[in-house]
Amino acid sequence: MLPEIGHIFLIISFLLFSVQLVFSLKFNSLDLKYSFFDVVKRLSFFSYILVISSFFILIINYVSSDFSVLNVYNNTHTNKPLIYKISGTWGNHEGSLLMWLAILSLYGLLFLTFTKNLPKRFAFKVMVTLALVNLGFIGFTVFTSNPFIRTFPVPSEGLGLNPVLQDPGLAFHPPLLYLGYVGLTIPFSFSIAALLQGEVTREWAKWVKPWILISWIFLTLGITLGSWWAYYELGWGGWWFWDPVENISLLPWLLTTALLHSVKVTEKRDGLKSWTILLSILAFSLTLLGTFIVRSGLLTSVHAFASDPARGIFILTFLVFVTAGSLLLYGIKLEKIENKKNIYLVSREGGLLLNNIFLCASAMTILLGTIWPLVIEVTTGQDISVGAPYFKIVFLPLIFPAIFLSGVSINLNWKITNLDYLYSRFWKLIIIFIFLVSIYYIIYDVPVLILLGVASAIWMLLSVIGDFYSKLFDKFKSFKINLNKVKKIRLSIYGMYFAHIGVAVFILGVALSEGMKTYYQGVESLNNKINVADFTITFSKLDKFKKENWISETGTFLVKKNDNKFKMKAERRVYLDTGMPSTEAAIKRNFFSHLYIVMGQEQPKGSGKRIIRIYHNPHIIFIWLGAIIMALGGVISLIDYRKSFFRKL
Amino acid sequence: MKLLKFLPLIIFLIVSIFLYNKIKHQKKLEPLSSALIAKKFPSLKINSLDNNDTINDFIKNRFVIINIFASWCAPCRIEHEVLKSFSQEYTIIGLAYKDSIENIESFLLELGNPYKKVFYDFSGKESINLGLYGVPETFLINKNRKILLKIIGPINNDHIKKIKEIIND
Repeated sequence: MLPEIGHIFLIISFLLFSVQLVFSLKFNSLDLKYSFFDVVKRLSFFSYILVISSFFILIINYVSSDFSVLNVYNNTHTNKPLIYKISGTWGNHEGSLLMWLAILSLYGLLFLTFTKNLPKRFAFKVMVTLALVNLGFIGFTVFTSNPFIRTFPVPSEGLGLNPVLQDPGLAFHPPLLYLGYVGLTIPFSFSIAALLQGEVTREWAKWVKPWILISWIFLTLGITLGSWWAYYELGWGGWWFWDPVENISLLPWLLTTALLHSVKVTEKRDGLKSWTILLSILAFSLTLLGTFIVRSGLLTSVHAFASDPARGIFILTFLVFVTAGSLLLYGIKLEKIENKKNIYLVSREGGLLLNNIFLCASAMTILLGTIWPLVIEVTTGQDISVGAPYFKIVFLPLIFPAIFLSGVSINLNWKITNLDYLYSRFWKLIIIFIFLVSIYYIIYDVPVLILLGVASAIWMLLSVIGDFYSKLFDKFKSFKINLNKVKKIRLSIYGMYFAHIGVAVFILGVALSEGMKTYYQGVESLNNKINVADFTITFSKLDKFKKENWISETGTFLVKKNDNKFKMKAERRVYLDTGMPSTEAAIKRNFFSHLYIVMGQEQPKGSGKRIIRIYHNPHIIFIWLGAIIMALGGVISLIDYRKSFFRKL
Repeated sequence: MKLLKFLPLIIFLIVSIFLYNKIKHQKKLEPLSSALIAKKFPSLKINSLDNNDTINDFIKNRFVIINIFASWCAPCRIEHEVLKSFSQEYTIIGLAYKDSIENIESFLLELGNPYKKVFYDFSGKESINLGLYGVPETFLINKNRKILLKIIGPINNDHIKKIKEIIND
């Protein structure tokens, strides 16, 4: 009975959103009466609740292992711990789509709660845009990927979850990422509403900013967790693989980062309006494109779901309808919204604009690299794949100037055009910068690319410190630092500082770990000694256990570095329900660095020899630490917006 | 200048054409089952549980269904009922994969035996030649050892309809 209820909830909400759209067509001829607005608002509210309930119904089906539901039967198993029964709900195409919907509804509810002080005409347009997006996704779920389909006869046991997905990292990675993706629907709807109104104001920028920030925080966390999980669980020994789906998730992040900066210019200087609008449309479209590519199985990737062309056609139609419609609207209204204000290059807005251009250019090169195989296949019929070398070559030259410029713009004021000012502001910073980089180079003598990375990190840190210092500095009493000013600086400025320090830490992590990592692979029998970096590693023991729902083979390794000795355990699991293997790497964290051992299968069979891979990744923790600091900066800024968020929205 | 306003739209539409083109030509992928279809069933060094027969001799000149199973495999329990339901009509032989004699015997005692004969591959080495992806898997083979159908995962009533259609042809 329960699955039918969930199914019916989805259908009802589909109908309710259609009703809203029909209402909205009449809207222009009707005056916006209070009652009419409230009717639509309540309809939305009710539909959102229905969608969220139907998601919870699916979770209940999973928890109670109701194998009469085909989706549950395909993706879970009674032997699984509770948390993986729950996360199994979104470990598959249909369920994850329903989660997508539930999150969209959650954002819808949030929006409705905070609409009170928005102008009614504007809020109405946002609600209708949201209804349209909801309609598309609910339609997609109900017509092509219904999670509530029953199966008969009822199986007594389920098929189990893909063992790779049985990990806490995966329980949280998709929800976080979806919170980020789906959150972009709100800025998108705000942009469409603004285009329909025919005006983009500074007020508008203020309203939309917190929503962009929320998405950005979740995107940052989601991608970070995914990267951490790939490193920790999949045993790939790296943190970013330029896998199509990873790229597709990076694109909205880059554009949202650009958007965060350009909306700031719109808010403070009433500029870059059409650019801000275009970015929010593109960021949203890219999440749709990402969904399209992953769900239709167009590109092969670890993330790919079972492919079904019918789904692909549906999403493509929806994507073209939404994106082409928005871009058409954009083209028509463009002249109305943009004021022909000049932007001076030597000013904060100028720096932000340049920075934006580099960020978007890097996003475009990634997009090009990701869909290039499709273009080649259509034009020449060849099967090619674009790998990490391409992305490294094109991405790095674009991202370095972006980092350099962001350091510069932090230290610039709005609207200033004087080159002398630039000089007075920067000569000290540049001297310190050159000094530090030279010292680093003299001590460590690293390759150019690593030095460039370290230099960018230093530059970023210095510019944050420089700006902070100048804010504390009292202009009237020369050479005195006024510590009382620490409290006067706005919280959002601190958020900005944190985010940029996060970037610096991240780059430092990438440069150091890429520059100094070591790797070993070999077939080893028991008691063999292996030398990697400064470590001597002995393969000392191999045990077999039976655990909850897998058979575990655990290899024990004795590791010696100087006088320091410790044990490490690497595990290889074979899951009983599916018979599929998975590896759990042994990781020794020495605060910043990781020694990382993966034990593979027996090779050759019966010999007792095992494939052993060892990685030493110094300072790699900085990569995720940096990303988390970035997200933390976002949260700090969000706290500052909280007031305006509650009052104005 | 007028066109420039619509540049994003135009670029997007060009990209969509490529995407559409790709998806139109995309075949429904069945990479797991396609490799062996219409080829000869490979010759395997596999004996029956009673050690009286080899699988190569047994399937000679017979229209058989080969079901690869294991006592430790949960989906195999599910498909067992289905197998039993048509074991009277067709010859089904079992191939026990990575298992032990005791476990197979108790498995078949508990659930019933749909198999004409049970063979075993306890090391799992020979099954590699079948491109085995996981258990259960089921092959339909004609008298000339040609593989007509390969089913991955537990067999259900739809599969049986398909098997019947093929056999009636």
